[in-house]
Amino acid sequence: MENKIKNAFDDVKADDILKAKTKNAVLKMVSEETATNTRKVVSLKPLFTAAACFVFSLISVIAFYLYFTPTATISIDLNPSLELEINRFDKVLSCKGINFDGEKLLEDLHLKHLNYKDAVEAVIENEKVNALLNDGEFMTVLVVSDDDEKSDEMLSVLRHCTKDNANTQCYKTTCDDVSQAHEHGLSYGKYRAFLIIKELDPDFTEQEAQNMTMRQLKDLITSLSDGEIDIDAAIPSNSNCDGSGNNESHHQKGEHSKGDGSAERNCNSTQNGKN
Amino acid sequence: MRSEIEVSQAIDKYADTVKRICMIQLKNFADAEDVFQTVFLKYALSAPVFESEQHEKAWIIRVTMNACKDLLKHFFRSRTVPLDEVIEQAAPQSEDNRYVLEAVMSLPQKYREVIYLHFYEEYTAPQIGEILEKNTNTIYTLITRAKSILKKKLGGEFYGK
Repeated sequence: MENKIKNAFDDVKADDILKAKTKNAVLKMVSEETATNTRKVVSLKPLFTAAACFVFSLISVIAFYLYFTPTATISIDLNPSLELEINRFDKVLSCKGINFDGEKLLEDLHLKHLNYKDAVEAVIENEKVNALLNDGEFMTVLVVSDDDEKSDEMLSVLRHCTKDNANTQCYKTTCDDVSQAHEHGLSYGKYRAFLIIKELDPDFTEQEAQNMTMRQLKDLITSLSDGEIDIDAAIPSNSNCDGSGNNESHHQKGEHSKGDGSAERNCNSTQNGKN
Repeated sequence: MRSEIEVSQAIDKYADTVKRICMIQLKNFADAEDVFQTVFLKYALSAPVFESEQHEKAWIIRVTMNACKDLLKHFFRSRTVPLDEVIEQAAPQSEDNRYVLEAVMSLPQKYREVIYLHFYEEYTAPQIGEILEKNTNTIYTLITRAKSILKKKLGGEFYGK
């Protein structure tokens, strides 16, 4: 029986046409499937992932660069002396004590990532700084930036912050002037005073300037020049002064500036703006 | 995925087996082309590594049976044709073979399957159970009943030859 069934089924065979049709159809479907898979693999997943990673990395790098690149510096001189680096979003990136007192003061202050206006207000409102200002000490707040528009805007904000302190002066300058000050180991406010005193007293040293307060430097200039020169007026070229809350300073500044055309121009332009 | 040569060789090797199963399951040859494409496309795209030729053949048989069953569920499938027509298309070489094929094809599907797998492919009941995903005892019962019906159909004399 088994053999008879075997023989009967042996007669059932697939013809060559059916085999050929099947081969053609299957191989065609396989190549289409392969092409689809390849297209999927090549065009979608890895490309999308790579593009997303690239865009994400690019955005991260740009954001990092934009945030962590300082565009301006605020130098605060009172003795203590501080410098705050500011980014394009007006945030404090770093704060540095220029002298021992400055470093000591920064131990009590947390200024990083604050808006520069809040940071300067925090410095002014600090107990030690407040006490010094009330004792008649003199404070300069300097905006350092090569971007004129930015420094004007910051200067305006800082003038507003310090308008209640008669012993405070705000002005602006460029990065070149500040690097000269740093080469002499002084903050810019003190360096400016040092240059004036050096002209009046050639024996005066940077070390002496470093150890004196802004009030002492201001008083020394006044006494050496018999009251003819005031620090407020002694603005180097491309600096811009502001004798906020001090009419006498304005007057003296105007007088002194006669000998320095560019300083006069800068000072007068500010005064004219105010008047 | 298998190479073009592998697929081509498999079609040459298993085309007859697939056709026989199509005949047993569908009782027509009109849908055989669809089943062929389904089975061999699956073979081309499949990943299993076959341990032996027997393993590969069993895989082809199981996939063909499933493809036929799927096709039977399909509304637009070709309808079964009269038995004479199927046998004619199968083109048996002798009257004896025609007679046996007619007897087998006249059995219900569940018996046709086991008769083919047991007598032609020479699978044991447990192996058939594995292919058809049925209990071994059920297969024994099906084989016994199928034999009994065939005996009646073919006549004792023919059956005993």
